[in-house]
Amino acid sequence: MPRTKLSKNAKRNRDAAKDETLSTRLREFDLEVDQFLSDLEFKRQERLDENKSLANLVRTLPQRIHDMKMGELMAMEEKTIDEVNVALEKKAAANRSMMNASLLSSSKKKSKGDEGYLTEDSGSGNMIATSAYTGFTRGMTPSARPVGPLSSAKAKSRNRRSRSACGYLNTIGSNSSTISSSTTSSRTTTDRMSRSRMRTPLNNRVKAASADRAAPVTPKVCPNTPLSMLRYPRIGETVISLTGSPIVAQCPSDTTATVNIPIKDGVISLRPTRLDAVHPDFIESIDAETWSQIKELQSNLNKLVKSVDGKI
Amino acid sequence: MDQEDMDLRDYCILESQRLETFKSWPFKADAPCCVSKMAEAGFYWCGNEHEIDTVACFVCGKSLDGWDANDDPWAEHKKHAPRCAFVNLGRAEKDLTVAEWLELVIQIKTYLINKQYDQMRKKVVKYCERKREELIKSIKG
Ligand SMILES: [Zn+2]
Repeated sequence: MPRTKLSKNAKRNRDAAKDETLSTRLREFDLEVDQFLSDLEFKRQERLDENKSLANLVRTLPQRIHDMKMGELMAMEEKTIDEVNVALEKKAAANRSMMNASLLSSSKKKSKGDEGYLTEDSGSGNMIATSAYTGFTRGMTPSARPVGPLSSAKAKSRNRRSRSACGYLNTIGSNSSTISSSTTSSRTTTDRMSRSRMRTPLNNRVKAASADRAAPVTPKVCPNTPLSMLRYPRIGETVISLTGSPIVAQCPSDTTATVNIPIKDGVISLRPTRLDAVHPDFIESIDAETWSQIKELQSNLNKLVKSVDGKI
Repeated sequence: MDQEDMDLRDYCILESQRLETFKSWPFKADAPCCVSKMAEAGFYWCGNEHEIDTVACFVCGKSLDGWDANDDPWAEHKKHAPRCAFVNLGRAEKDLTVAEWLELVIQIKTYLINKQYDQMRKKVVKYCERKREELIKSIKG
């Protein structure tokens, strides 16, 4: 019995048609899946890019926020990064004005009655500087003492060139040098006595003057860097303020008898070491009033020497 | 199957959040392996009543159990996940700088995005394989 060719063909045709439908449908399906998965990958990349731009945004935050400890940040009441930044800026400004205040109070030092060592004024100036410093390092907000343009200009106009006396490190103007000078002087006068290696005033003067003629010095730090970046001056070292004035970082020790004589642009510090010659600059800067005081001082010293001589 | 937006607050990025997850813990507060030390060392609790000492790290995701009272959470973290960014910083949250912490958060987010999309992709692929089989059956009859 012959089989009908037609029906077989028809079945094959039917199968072929089915296969074709299947492969077409599968191709369509696979395409759709591929499309879905690549959409998914696209969305993943979008999210990752978003995160990357968040990371870039984080990098643009102010350095002072970057460097903060999480513990400090969480202790703050502020809710947003902007608020935190504003609060930190305020705190920094308060610290700066503290420094200005200490500069001002120490530069107000009067010449009369200065018998050496620390005067009351420069002493209290140092105390303010010290408290501002500790307040800063502890992250506390010291009470702000606003300094107007007039008073800061006054502070600047009182620029004195220190020859050797302590306390006068504070007198070089400009906000930037204030930070270093106020802290350094407060430390050197109190804590660093053991290091003291005294030099004659003349030597100091020459050293300070030679700094004037030295090649330009480029500051190694940004004036607004934190206090911790600074170091204390070494005794006898020539310090140069950011405005270029040479300063000698030397303080009278409370273990030696010293006579400090304020003159119009600084102070002459007389030390108990042999003095060979007096530089003409010193003579020029002594006015009549100072001269009479020096003579009075000399007679007092003579009296003292006479009454003590031979008893010790 | 759309992406849900993830809320980082659900991922214990703060020590205080990790601390809150500890619904129960086998050791007392004076043990080296106490709840506060665990949270400090980056672990949050993901246990249940049968496995009460299962925890995971909020940064590397490493899951650990079988703790002893005298285990040092930091040391164990370092031992079992030496590449974890948090354990390599090795400091409690309060002693990290803001920059360090934010860097961690961004890393966590990258990790979570990838994890989320990996899971989604797996589900999609599995679902599509099943649908494909069904399609073949329905056409072949
Ligand atoms: Zn980890």
